[in-house]
Amino acid sequence: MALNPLRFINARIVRQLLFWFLAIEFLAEATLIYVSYRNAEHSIRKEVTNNLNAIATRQANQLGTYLDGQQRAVTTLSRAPEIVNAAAELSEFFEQSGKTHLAAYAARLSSQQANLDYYKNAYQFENLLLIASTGEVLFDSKGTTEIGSHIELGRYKGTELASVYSRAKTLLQTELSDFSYLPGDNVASAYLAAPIRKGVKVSAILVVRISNAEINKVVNDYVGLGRTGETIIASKFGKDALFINDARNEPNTAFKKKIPLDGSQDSTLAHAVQGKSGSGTVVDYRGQEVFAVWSYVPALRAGLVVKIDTEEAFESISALRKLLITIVGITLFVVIFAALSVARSITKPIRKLRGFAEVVASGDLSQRISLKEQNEIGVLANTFNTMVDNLNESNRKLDEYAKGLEAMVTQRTEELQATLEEVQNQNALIEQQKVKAEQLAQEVQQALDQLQSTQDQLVQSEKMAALGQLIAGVAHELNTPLSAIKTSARNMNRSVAYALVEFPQYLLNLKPEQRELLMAMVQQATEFTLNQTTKEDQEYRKQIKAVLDDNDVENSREISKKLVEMGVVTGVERYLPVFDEANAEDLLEAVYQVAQLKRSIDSISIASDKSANVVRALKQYSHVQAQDKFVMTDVNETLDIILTVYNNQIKYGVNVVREYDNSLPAIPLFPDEIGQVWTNLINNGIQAMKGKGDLMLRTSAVGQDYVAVEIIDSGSGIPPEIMDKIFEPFFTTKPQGEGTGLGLDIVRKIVEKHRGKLSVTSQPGQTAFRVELPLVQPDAEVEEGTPSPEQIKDGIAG
Amino acid sequence: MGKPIIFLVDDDKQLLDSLTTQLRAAAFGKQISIETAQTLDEAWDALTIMVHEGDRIGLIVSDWLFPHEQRSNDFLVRVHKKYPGIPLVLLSGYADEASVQQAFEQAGLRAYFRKPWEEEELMSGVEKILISENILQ
Repeated sequence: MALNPLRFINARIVRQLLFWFLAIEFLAEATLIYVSYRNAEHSIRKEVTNNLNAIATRQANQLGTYLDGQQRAVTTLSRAPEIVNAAAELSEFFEQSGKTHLAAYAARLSSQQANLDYYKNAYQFENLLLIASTGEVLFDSKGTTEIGSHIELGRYKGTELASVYSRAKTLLQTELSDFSYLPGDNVASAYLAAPIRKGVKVSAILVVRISNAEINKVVNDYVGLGRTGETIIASKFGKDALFINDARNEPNTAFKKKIPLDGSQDSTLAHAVQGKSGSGTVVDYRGQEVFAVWSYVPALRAGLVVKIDTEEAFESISALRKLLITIVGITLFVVIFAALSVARSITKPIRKLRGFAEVVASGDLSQRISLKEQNEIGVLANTFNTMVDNLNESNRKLDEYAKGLEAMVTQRTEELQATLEEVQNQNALIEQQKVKAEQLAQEVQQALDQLQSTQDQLVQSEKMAALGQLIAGVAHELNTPLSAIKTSARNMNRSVAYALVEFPQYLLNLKPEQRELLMAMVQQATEFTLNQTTKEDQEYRKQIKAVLDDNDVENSREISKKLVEMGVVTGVERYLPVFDEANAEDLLEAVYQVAQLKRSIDSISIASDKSANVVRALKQYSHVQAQDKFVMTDVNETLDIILTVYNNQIKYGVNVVREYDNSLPAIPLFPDEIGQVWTNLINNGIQAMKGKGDLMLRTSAVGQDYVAVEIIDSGSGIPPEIMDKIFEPFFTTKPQGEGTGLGLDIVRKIVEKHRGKLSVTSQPGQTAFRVELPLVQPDAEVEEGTPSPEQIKDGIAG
Repeated sequence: MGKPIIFLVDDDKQLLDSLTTQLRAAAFGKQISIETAQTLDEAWDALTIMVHEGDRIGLIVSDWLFPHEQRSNDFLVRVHKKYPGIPLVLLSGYADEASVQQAFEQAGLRAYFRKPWEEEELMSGVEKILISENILQ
């Protein structure tokens, strides 16, 4: 990735880092520089000051020492006998003749010339003069002054030489003059003047000129003054300060260069010359800034300035400053570089990361970022990579999902398409079906209408079915007694001849005691009313057989059976003789034949009664069938009629229990229809018990308004799941074709017609249908009942 | 060992008595013994005892066929199941041909006679059965 430096610099992090790096660096460095610079400057300034002070002091001391030495030397010399003598001689001579005869004096002087020069050289004076106390120059070793000329008059009048001469002569001590030019001398000099005394009288004044070279030697000792340092000695010269020595930096200044004392040019000189001392940075006579120490040197009667160019004096400071600036520059550079590097080291991976993020953001997940950094950014990069990996994984999964989804969508779409087509087909079909359905609905409506009418027909046919059943039952009820009658009649027919014709003959042929026994048997048989049940027969047979066996009668089984059939069941012991006879069988057969007549007649009678009963019940049944309005009827009677009619169906296995409340009043009923109710309920009960069990019929009063009839069977019960369906029309548990399923529906309808209530409770072993019928039927035509309950009972029993 | 037995089962005592008399008067009357029962329990007990005592039951005549389809345990069917060798004759006044047909199938009836019957017809029918069973010669 190409890095745009400007962009790099402009990057916010970079600028921030840069700013803070610089700010911190500046603060630190500025403080450091300020402190060190101040310290350095202070110490350097102090050092320079001390140095200059030391130099100044040393030079002042050297000058002082030198001048003191000169002064002492002059003083000493002035007291030296040779000088005193010479001065006295010369002075005297000059006094005597010298004024007028200078030549003579010169001659005389020459004798002293060498002597005096010797001293001058020995003391390293520049010049040595002897001036008479009267003022005339007595000796001048260098000849600068005219011998004999008056020092206080003429050309020397007012000079420093005249002045120092005067002070020495007056004060009688060695005096030093200021530096000054003497007329005719181009070198400014200072003079020492000492009186030479001869006794108390001052014979002459010794004047020596101090060697400027010595002074210069001291002053121009630049040790410790570097390249630009110099010492300037200046003495007051009128309104100016006159340079006494040649300045280092400006040659030929000695006794030539003057500086006004007003300090306008070089205040140090002005100050020093005027006796002040001090130090500081000032601008010197050259206009150069210098650091200077100045003071007054009394011995020299001059101001001393030791100075050095500040440029040099504080060269180390400026060097330091330069160094510092350099350091600052370098540091700045380093800092900027470091800041940029750090920033770059930070931003570079970040930029890399950003670039990577942009790549990732653009959707390219194939790249991975690799950073050398092991720091947080490195971790971030790794995290980023992990994130991209995860993204990749997610994307891959998403892709898979997407592909799966796509496939699924495609599949679903196809399925949907197929479904849609199917739906469209179905719609078409549905449309057809709808048309069909509408037709069907019409048909169903028609069917319903038809059903409504057929239901009525079915109710009618149910009635007919019941009637058919009734007829079948009635046929049987009648056929059985009829069979008994018919067979009995045939039996009688067969026996009557025997009984009337053969039996009397047979009796006549028997022994009288046999005859008697047979007649007794016939008698007993005819008096005995036929047993009603075979069970009774069996009991008699057992008893008789026991008696016969006790009496060792053979064939006891057959005989006992026959006796019971004949109706000879008691006191059979008396007939034992008959049974012992050889023809016992014949005898018994004869009696049987006769007794059979009686038995047949009994059978016919009983069977006829039964037939009559059935017919009567049928008659009543058919009578009530005809009724079409409420008839005051005995409920118990209606039940009995039905029981009679259905006797054949219940007599073998069903134990009928009647619990009638005989105090019940007659109530308004449709007798035929109520009979249908009992028929159906009794039939159901019998069927539920599979023809065997207890059937209870119970009647009772319910308060003042209702009579309750309960028909309870001991069958298996009605399963709870069909309990609420049993009253529905066409619901049946019977095999196809054997029940209409309308029975209980009809029951319900009839009970409703009577404004009664119908309920059922069922559990295994006890199912009870309960019909409650009102005592009165207001707003209905009611016919008085025909047969009274008593009549009916009599009729049935009879 | 006694005579072969004709077992009559009917709830009507008069019918049992008169039929007994009629059978005794028949040509084969002397060769057979007649037992009767009037209720289901009685009949079943008697039959069990007779079989137990080794009596030979030549024929059972019964009206015991009921019109209710639930009554598959009616007497003749039960006898037929337990003693398939005993010939059975239905003698009924019930006018339901379907039930009779059912009885032929379920009880293996040998004959069916209506009440009231013709004496000659019934007697010859009974005799034929007895002969076919080798009870009569």
